[in-house]
Amino acid sequence: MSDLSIGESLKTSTPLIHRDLAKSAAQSPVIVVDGLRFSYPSGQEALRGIDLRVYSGERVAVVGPNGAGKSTLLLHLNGLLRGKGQLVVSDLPVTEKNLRVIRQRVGLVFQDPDDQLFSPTVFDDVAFGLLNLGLPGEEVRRRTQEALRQVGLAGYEGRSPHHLSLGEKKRAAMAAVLAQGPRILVLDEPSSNLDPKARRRLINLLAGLEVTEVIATHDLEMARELCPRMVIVNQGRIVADGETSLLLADQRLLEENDLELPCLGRLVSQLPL
Amino acid sequence: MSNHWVSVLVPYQGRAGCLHEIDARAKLLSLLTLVLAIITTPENRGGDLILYGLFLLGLAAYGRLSLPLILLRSAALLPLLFGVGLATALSQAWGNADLGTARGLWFFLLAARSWLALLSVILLVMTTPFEEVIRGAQRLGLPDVLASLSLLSYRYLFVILEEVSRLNRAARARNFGAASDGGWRLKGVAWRATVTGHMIGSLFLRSFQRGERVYTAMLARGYTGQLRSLAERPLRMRDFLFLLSVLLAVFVIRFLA
Ligand SMILES: Nc1ncnc2c1ncn2[C@@H]1O[C@H](COP(=O)(O)OP(=O)(O)O)[C@@H](O)[C@H]1O
Ligand SMILES: [Mg+2]
Repeated sequence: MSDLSIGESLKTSTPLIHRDLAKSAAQSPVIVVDGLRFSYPSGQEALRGIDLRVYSGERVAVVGPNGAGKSTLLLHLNGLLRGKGQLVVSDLPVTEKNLRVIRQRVGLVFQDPDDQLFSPTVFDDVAFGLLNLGLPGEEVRRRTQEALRQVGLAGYEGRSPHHLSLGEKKRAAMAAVLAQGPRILVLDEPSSNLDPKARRRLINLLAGLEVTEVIATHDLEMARELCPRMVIVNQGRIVADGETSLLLADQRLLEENDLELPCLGRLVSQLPL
Repeated sequence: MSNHWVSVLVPYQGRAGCLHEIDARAKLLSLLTLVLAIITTPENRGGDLILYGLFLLGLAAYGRLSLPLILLRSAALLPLLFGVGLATALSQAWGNADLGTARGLWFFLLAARSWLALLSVILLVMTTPFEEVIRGAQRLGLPDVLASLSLLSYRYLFVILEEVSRLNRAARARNFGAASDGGWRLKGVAWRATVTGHMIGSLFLRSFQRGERVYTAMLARGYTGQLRSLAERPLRMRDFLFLLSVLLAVFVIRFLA
């Protein structure tokens, strides 16, 4: 897949771009979304032409009101939903043939960890993806332990997901995805419903990973802390794409999209840094 | 709420005992042999049942299991036995006396057999986590589909029960079915049935949607329709010895005692 052809067909139709991320332009994008449209079978038009490029090593926050299409967009990134338009992930067009490799390279962490932890034990769950890759037993064991250690759940192997706290469930779900060694991590509202301590752990964990991250969230504080770049989605379209600190300082933009920074955050984003 | 369900539904006791360490396959085969022997005990050899009972007692002691707990669990059989017993007693009252005593003995044997069979199962599930029972059964020939189905049902049983209790709480928070609420009596059974129906419908919908999401999550990690598991450790000497001793005990009781 040559990148030039994508570049040529990519039109900058995004209505509001605060700043061109010039430094990224030199690299080739790991996610190229071009004119992506998707309707659910019920007829609900969830994505109405999304254009997005994400570059290697970037952390991008995807924000927007409920029903904006964030989750729908994320589900496209490893081919779980297939809309109209161009989608190239990690240099592979998302086609039936490439799904296997793409799903290995793009780790998707679902919003509700109960959806993702379907095995009887934490170990089984983390091993699930590795076994599907057909890895040998020793390798599976090693990578499972490693991933659990990475998220701070070493020693939880034999526990049943049902007995974990929500924070632990979320980290177990992360381990399950990380064990597969993804290049791109896609997370749907990772901090929702977490208490402050669990949220902090999660943020530190995400900050310490050396992969490209796309994070859908309502947690603007977390977005500011983790993601230099932010994309605002509303009614299935990208309405803004730019530097997080700049977007967060734009009070009108936030209000138009039903977004709100907590008081203190508002204060900070107003400071001339 | 959830803890209550868990204690009922998870008989497995995490403590490691000698029975805990036996491979699930050996335990399943032993269970099968024992249960078959027990339920096919001929009527003229009722005394065998006592020996089986003693053997099970020995196993429980060997596994360091709590006897009161085992007996408590086996109480689940009581309602069933009560029903059968009542039916037998009634037919005795109507039939002739001779047949009556035969029926009484028949009922007693039936009760003893089912109780012992249940005790054997309890011993298994108290010393083996559910997933090991299923994986063991799978390696003994249980079809993959059934194994996956059991494991997933078991996992989501708790999640769904929690959803039930949330729905229930929401309904009670609005005085549905409260003792002090004369309202529903006035509104009638039809209304009550409607509300309950909606609750069940909502639960079905939630479970269905959950199923879709879980399946999506499985696909996201390369699921192709087969639940794989790690190559398990082979049967060890002690598993064989365990199975052998159970077979031997059954043989002795059945044919020599
Ligand atoms: N499984 C589905 N079936 C039909 N419509 C759906 C489904 N999932 C989401 N939608 C609809 O698609 C739109 C986008 O939803 P979603 O991507 O979940 O938004 P977000 O994650 O931003 O809250 C919403 O209008 C929602 O109602
Ligand atoms: Mg969502």
